[in-house]
Amino acid sequence: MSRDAFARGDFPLLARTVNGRPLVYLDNAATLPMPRLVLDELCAFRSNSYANIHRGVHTLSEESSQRYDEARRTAAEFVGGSEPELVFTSGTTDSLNKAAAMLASRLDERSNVVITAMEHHSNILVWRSLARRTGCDLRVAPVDGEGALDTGAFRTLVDEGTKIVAFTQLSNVTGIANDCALLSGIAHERSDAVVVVDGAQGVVHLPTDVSALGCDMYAFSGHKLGAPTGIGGLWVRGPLLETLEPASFGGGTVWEVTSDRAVLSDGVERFEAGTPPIDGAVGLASAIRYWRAHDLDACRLHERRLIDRLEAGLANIEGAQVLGRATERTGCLSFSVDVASPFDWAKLLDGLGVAVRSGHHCAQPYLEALGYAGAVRASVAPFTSKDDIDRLLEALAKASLVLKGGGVRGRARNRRGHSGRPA
Amino acid sequence: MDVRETEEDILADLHELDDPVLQYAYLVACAGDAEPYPDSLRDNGHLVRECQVKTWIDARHHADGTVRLVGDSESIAIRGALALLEELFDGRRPEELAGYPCGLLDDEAFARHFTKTQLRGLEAIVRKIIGRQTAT
Repeated sequence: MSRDAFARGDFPLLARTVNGRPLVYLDNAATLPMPRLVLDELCAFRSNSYANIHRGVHTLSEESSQRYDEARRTAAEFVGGSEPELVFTSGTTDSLNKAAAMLASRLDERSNVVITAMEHHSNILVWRSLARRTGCDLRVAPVDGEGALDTGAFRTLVDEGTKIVAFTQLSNVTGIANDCALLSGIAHERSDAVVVVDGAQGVVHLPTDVSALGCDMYAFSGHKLGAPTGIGGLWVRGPLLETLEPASFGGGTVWEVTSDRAVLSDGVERFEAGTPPIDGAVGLASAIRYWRAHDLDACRLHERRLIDRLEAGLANIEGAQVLGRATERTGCLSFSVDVASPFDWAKLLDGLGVAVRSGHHCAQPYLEALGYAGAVRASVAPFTSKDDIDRLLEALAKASLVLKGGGVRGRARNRRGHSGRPA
Repeated sequence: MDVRETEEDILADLHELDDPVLQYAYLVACAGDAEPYPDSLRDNGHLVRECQVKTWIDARHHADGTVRLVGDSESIAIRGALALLEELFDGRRPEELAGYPCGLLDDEAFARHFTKTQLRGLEAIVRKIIGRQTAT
């Protein structure tokens, strides 16, 4: 059955109350609640088949191995790739770190890496570290006055010395997307760089086909799709993967080890040292099956309309400013208000049962480029409703009264005249 | 009022308000009543960093041992918390505070409005203040 939004009842977590009020969960960019399907399939797997994989010949090991291999196929196909190209990792950050480690040998003092000013810290720090260790130049393509990537500046920064280009598919702060096909095209036209895309948010909210994106590597997390934490993927274009060395070594990666040599296995397993995240992978496959049971284009349209509704409603909150300017935002938006800190707004909203995120969202350079140190972020999912957005806006109005209204003193405080200090 | 009576007053208000939004409004009011923080102390030496907000605190003892406590923050709630700690401790003599078991930070009606990191920061201030037993 194909549906254009997720049923709230499919997510047990959404039934709870917070501070005596029904939960409105708008922190999906951080983590998506787990659908009942994933919870049930994980429980069934852990109860019936859970065993270490690819090592035993007994029935449980064979069943677990089959589920793990099927999960790899499911995850690869979800991003438009094939099974031998999908390395399981612990999430986007781990994927980006592995990518950097695998690509390090391509860099030296004559080369450069190009990233953008829109990036999450996970897609900045790995390349900074790599630049420090290899002596290569790290170049950062700026954003324009509206928070979008300055594509012209990006083009100028990519040259024949560029060996890695890394950028986000979708901002976790402003909900502004990059034209990945365009950027990949620029990178491949002007250099022989490997293009690495941070798909942490994009895989959730945008059509994702790695061929269409034109990238060579694609990193994503499972928990933002409703899978458990601790599982993610790094898709690597087949011919590229064949040339790469693993970032870590250990059991499960080798055909043979003698006293003085080791023969790595041929397949993608050589990049997954040690016991892999077996039930994480099973959970990821369950989550992907849940997503695929829906009309994802319709889900995305539903989400965009919610974000539009929120942005329009924020115009009625005095002093509120949405970060960046875009005709189309996807998945989230962030805003600041001219009174108090984002922490205060988020804490008050929590008091009213509304869960949002506050702070720098692990994107301090981007926030600084936009002119802010912190912001409140609301992020939607296909189960989010118009009522959820309206409750957020009502809660913001109440919070505004509290934060701008001078507060409530309390009887004891009034009685002692506001100060208990000794004379 | 001694420090115990002041703390009991604060907790009485928070418990009577009994709703997180009203309790937050109480902290907002306290923030409005706080002594202004000197600009000369708004420097890195007095800055407490954490991922949510910047907070500046001047917590020390005068030569006669009396407590000096004043603070400011980007967060209204933390400003309110600092104002309450100022009410409890600023100007008090060591003998008033010796061994005082401050329970404000552990009380759910207060603690629920802050992150664990922020509470640890506030606890460190209280330990610093109560820990000094005699004037030099």
